[in-house]
Amino acid sequence: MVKLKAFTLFDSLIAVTITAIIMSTMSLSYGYLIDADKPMSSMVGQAELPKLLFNLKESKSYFNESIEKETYKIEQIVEQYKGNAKLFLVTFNIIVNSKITYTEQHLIENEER
Amino acid sequence: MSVLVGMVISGLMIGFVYSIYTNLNQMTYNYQSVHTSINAFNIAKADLKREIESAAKISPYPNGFVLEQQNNIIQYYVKENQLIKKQNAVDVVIFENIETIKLSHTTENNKEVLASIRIDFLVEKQVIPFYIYTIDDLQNKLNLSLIHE
Repeated sequence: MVKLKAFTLFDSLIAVTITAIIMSTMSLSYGYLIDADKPMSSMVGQAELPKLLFNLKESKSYFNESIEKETYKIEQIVEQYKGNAKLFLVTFNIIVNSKITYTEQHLIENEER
Repeated sequence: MSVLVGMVISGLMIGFVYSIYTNLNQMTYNYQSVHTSINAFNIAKADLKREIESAAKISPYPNGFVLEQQNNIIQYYVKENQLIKKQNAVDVVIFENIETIKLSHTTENNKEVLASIRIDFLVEKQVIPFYIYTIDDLQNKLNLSLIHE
C-alpha cells in the first residue's frame, strides 16, 4: 500500500490560499449579482414618474412627499429653483432597499402665482 | 483514517464550490434574461415615444390609438397580448419579446383627441406601465416662463 506523505506547513498554506482565493472570487461575484438584481423594482418606480409629475402639475400641490410601494419607495422633493418663485425643481428619488437607485429632476412652472 | 478524513473534507469542499458555481451560473443566466427584457422594454418605450411625439394628431381607436402624421396614418392596438402596428392596411406585431397587457387612454374634453396613453408591458413577470401625456407641453411653458421672467 502506498503511504501518503504528511503535508508540510508550506503545502497547507498553498492549499488554504487557493481555497480562499476561489471562495472570495465566488462570493464577490455572488454579491455583485445580488446587488445588480434590483433593476426591476427601480424600473417600475421609474415608469411611474411621468404619472406622478403630471399629477403634481395638475393638482398644483407642490409638497414633499414619500410614496411607499411593495418593493420600492419614491421620494418627491419640491424646492424653489435658484430662488425663482416661478419655478420649482422637482426631484424624484427611487429608493430600493434603503438605497437611492435612481434620481430624476424636472423644472416645473409654479401655476399658483 | 487520515486519508478518509482528507477525502471527506475534499469532497465537502468540492461539493460546496460546485454548488456555488452552479448557483452563480443560474443567476448570471437570469440576469442576462432580465436585461434582455429590460432592453426590449426600453427600445419599445423610446420607439413609441418618438412616434407619438412626431404625430400631428392622436385620436382614440378601439383598444388602441391612431397617430396622424403628415402623410401617414398609423394605428396601434393590442390583440392577444401583443402590440400591433397597422400601417397601409398591413398589421405587424411589434415588440415581440415583451407582452403588452393593456392599453388605455384618456381623452380631452372634445373626446376626439387623446390626452394621455398608458400601455402596460409585462417584463419578466412584472407589469411596467408606460405613460405618455400628449398635452404635457412642459418645454413651451418653461421657456415662456423663463422669457417673461
